[in-house]
Amino acid sequence: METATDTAQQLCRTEFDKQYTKEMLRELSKRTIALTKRYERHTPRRSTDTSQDRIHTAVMKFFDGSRTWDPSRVDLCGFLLGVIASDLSSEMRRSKMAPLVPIDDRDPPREDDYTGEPCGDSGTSLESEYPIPRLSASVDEAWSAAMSYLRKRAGTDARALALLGAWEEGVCQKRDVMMLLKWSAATYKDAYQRLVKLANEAEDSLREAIAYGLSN
Amino acid sequence: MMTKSDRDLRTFEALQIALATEDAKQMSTTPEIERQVEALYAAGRRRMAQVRYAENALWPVKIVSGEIRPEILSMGPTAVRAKLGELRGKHPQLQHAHRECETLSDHDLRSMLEDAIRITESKE
Repeated sequence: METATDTAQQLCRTEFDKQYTKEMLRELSKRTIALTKRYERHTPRRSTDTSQDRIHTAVMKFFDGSRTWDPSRVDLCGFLLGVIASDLSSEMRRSKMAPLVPIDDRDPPREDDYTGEPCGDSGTSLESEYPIPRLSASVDEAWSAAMSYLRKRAGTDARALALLGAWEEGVCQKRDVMMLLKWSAATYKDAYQRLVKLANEAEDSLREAIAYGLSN
Repeated sequence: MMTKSDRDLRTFEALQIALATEDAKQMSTTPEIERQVEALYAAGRRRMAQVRYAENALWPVKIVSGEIRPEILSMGPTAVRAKLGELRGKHPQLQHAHRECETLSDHDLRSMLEDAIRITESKE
């Protein structure tokens, strides 16, 4: 007997078969390269992962079930790009939580120290020397600062603000946004283009806002 | 429940995706992208095939020979119907389509009896 979960899985696999085409992957590769470049502007260090690694990881997350795809809400390209964006955001968090420390800044052990005791000051444990990264509020504040800046910048542009509001509520797909805001395709396109233009114009300030959040 | 910073992060990601989508429109397909596409396509298809193979291994399909034993082949339609009736009496849980067996060809009738005997034999 088939269960609802089995049916949903079958639907996902059928849709995967249909949408996992070379054309889709070509588009996804370009978007991933562009997305990674944009994130790299905000992060202090560059990842060694290629766009191929990132797409492959996102596909594997679909297969192992760690990320669930709802084909009725978003196409495969959009879903995988969302997973990649989420991974990039996590990397930004991690880069803040575990900053790179130049090797010269750490206390070297004495050359005659063969005791096997932890390096550095006496009495320090391995854990205190390598503290477990914990979520820093300032990293999350970085997004908030950036988005507040963008809202201010949008000023009285009702459409751009409405689109930002929809995204904030998790309504990111064109069809869903149009339904939520009762917009026509032309209105959506206009709002989308305004917001993209606004964000591009505010790029430097957004980067500064995020950099400020990350540095605090 | 989602916090404000979660919502801001989601908006930030949506915005970055929108900007990257616009950037991608200006990009050309390089040989490196083509190579990457080929590798990802092959890997994705291979993984899907592995998933399906593993699933089929969990639920093996029982392949049954369509062969009808000579004793049944030598029986006439009336005898086959009588035998089916006898089996139904002996095994009340036995169910089959075309209970009256009026519309079936002689071959299908014999094939049905063969299936019924195999199923009931495995239960005995």
